[in-house]
Amino acid sequence: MAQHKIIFAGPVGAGKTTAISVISDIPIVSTDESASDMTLVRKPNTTVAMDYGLMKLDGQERVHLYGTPGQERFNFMWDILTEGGLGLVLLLDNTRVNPFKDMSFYVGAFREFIDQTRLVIGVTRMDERQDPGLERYNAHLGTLGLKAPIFEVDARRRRDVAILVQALLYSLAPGIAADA
Amino acid sequence: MNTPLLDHPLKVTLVGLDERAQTRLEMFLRGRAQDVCVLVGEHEAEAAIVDLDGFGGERLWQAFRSRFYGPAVVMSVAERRVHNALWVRKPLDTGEFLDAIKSVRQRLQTECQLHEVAQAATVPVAEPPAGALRDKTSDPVRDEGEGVSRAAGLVWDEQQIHAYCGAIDDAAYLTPTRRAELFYVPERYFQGLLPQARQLAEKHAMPVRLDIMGYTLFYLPESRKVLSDIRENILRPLCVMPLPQPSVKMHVVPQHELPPLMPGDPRLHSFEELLWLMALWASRGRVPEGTDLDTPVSLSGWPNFTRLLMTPNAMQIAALWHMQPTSLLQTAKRLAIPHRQIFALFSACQALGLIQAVNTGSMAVPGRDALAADSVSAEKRGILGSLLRKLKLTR
Repeated sequence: MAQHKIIFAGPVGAGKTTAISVISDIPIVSTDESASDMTLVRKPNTTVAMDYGLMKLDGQERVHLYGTPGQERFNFMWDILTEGGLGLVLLLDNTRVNPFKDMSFYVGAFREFIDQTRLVIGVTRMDERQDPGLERYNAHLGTLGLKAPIFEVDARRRRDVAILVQALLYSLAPGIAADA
Repeated sequence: MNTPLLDHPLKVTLVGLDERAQTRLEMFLRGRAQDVCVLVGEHEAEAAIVDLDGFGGERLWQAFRSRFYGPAVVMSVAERRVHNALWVRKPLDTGEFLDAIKSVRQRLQTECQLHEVAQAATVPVAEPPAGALRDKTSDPVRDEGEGVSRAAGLVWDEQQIHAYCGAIDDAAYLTPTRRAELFYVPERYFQGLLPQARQLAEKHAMPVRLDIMGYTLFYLPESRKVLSDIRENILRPLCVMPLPQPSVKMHVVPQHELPPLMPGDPRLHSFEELLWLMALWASRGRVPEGTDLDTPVSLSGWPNFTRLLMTPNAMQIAALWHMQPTSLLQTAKRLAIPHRQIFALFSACQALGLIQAVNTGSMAVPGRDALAADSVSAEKRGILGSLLRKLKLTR
């Protein structure tokens, strides 16, 4: 049986672990550790290897949800993780100093995967900081030669994360029906 | 609110009056005020009478206003300007009081008429909606009856579908002689006023007050929010009909003339969310006049679906326009969904400035014909469909 997976990426504290946990059918398998470096400034615990969640579909089908570590020093794992993935969910934190730099970094790091599949972007913590707005994220993504659905997301809300993933699926196949 | 308003005493509830003040007012109502009002509990009330001078009167009024949207008469010794309420001086003058009650009745009458307009705008569809439209598995995040609905959510029952996508039958979109039915002029509707208010507010860096048929809202440039306590059952009828020009007043106001705001004030609404709703209500399956139905449509960005009301099949339509610019008529054909849903979404996207001129050579999403059979394997389509169904389930 084919293995299907969706990859969640983004900087530390953007909400990857939370986003996976709200749509996973199993308790999330996480490898959070106490942060001992500059990560500590943003988050007391952080993912040092990866997060894992699972969505059980009808029959025996399963979709695996992988959250990549936010710290760049683990980027050697990203190629392995993305193999066979359906697409990339990139979460960006609007309160970071330069979220556009984060976008450029992650789009660049996953470019090959994005070109082969699809990308959706969720901007988190917009309730804490309104600016930059989504139109600026769209414009910046355009400068990277890409278009993708970009939504404001609260990673704690299942509905928000579900919409984000739905957009990924419709981007793969707009004609897809829920009862296909 | 369908009972004839002029045929019965106005049902009012009292706020901020102690027992003695209440007894005095009751005597006044039975005597000099000729039984124009009858006292009832809050949930039955058509209107409220508020004493701002009573103990905690101001606080009680603010709390009451956050849950009661009907007309109100506020009383105080000193003259007050109270947002969205009629002020009368204490001690009460019979003539002034009766005039205020008359205004309240007129406002209720207007609400009744607006309600009838809204009802008339929601007529049965000529054909059954697609199966997905009846799907109640998603979670509409709505708050009916509590002011304006929170805009995020999914339109999921037929009544709502009619309200937001209209009821124009598919044949109208395909019959050249019926083309006139498919267009509207946004500038003639409430939808057209909100961007004007924003423009004016930004130009002067001051709030703008918009008065429309006895109702008021403010655009606040600093927070980019709209301050309004107009209930949805009033706002919607105001949006579905073209507005007579004399009924609208728009002007900048100093900050101190704004009604006092509470933290997390439920009267504050996102400009985009409100404009989106207004455009859907005004459009009801039509597009702005001058739209070429055969020109490919492209999006500069997806609508922020996590915060906007999602009409049926909105994601499929957005995905198609995003990946492959497609004309309005072709979109209906390719996705096999009712035209009115596509036209309604287009109008809402247009209102938010998300429709862009097509430049097929730039920023194309990698790949091929978005709907070509071979773009996604049959096996993959199966898994995507199952996953989609799962994600649409409420938990």
